[in-house]
Amino acid sequence: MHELSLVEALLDQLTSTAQAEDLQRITALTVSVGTLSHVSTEALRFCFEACQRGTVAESAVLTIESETGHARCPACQREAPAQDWLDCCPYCGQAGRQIIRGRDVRLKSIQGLH
Amino acid sequence: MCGTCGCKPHDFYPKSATSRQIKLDISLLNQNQQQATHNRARFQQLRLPVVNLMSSPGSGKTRVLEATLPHLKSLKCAVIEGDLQTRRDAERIKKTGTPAVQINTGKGCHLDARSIDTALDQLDIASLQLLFIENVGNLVCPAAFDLGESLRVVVLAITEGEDKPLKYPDMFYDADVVLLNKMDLLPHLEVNLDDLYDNLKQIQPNAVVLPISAQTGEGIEGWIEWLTQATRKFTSA
Ligand SMILES: Nc1nc2c(ncn2[C@@H]2O[C@H](COP(=O)(O)OP(=O)(O)OP(=O)(O)O)[C@@H](O)[C@H]2O)c(=O)[nH]1
Ligand SMILES: [Mg+2]
Repeated sequence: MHELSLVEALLDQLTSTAQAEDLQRITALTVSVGTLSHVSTEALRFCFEACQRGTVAESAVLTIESETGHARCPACQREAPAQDWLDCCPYCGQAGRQIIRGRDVRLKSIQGLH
Repeated sequence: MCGTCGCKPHDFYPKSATSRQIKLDISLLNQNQQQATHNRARFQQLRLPVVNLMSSPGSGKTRVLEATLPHLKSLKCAVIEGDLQTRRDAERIKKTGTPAVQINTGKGCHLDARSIDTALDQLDIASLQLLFIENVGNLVCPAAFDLGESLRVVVLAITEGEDKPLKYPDMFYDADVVLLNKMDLLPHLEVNLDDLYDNLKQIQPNAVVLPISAQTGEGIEGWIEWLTQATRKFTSA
């Protein structure tokens, strides 16, 4: 799984943000995981907790929220939420929707001390 | 906690430290995406089409390359090989007379854009006309990491069963073409090809599927034709 790569990118981002915002340390952060991303929240948390030591987010509390995916129907062109890749269009029942959102993992916010 | 006196890190900070909430919303794939965009710009400048080959371990990526490269003798090709370990695949490619660079990812389950940037240093890329990248055998992670490639080719061996597109949708959603490999084994299998096509269409209605056998050469000409056509828009100005 690529959760470890994502956590490495996350820690790089936390370090550079802390520097830019002049924070001494980060105490909490929120990450959103798209419902279509195939990222395991358990693995993400495990990797984060294994790697956070010795970083600016050493004692930070990680909150993971889920971001509902969105897709556009190729038949009726309407957009609707998509919990799963196989969800058909809720309006016309068509499969094979174009994914617009929900494949990503994003750092949404941090809490830090000056 | 510190090993000398047992103090906690936050004991060092003044109690008056002010806490602040900062809203961000940054993709964790941003870092890779930036490098991929850089790679893509470099390939575009050189008018070099780059093909990212992906599949589960053992579907036949290297075998497909071995069957493909002899048909492309008129082009200057090179291959970047990604595996957790060993140089075996690069050695197999070199036997076809094509330059190959092996990347060993160690524990990494996918190639990323930076590893491609590094591998390019070992190739005379200005002289190349077509670059193949064989990704680490894995139907999940490589799908999330753009390398800056022009085309995504997914190899699916029919021995893997008809349900793979449903189980690993990301990979098939982004594929420019799916090579249905090991067709020579069809008489020995119970796989239902109609179901396989239906499952693919559920994920990607526009999927292009080419049945081939890298072993016998069946369908390879059609694949070369597709490749020649698809790379054209990356070689012209
Ligand atoms: N019968 C048959 N065997 C094939 C075909 N293509 C590949 N194979 C065999 O499948 C096995 C795996 O092929 P490789 O080319 O090494 O597969 P790969 O996808 O490169 O494997 P990794 O790089 O380890 O992920 C080898 O024993 C090949 O000879 C085919 O079309 N028909
Ligand atoms: Mg291989």
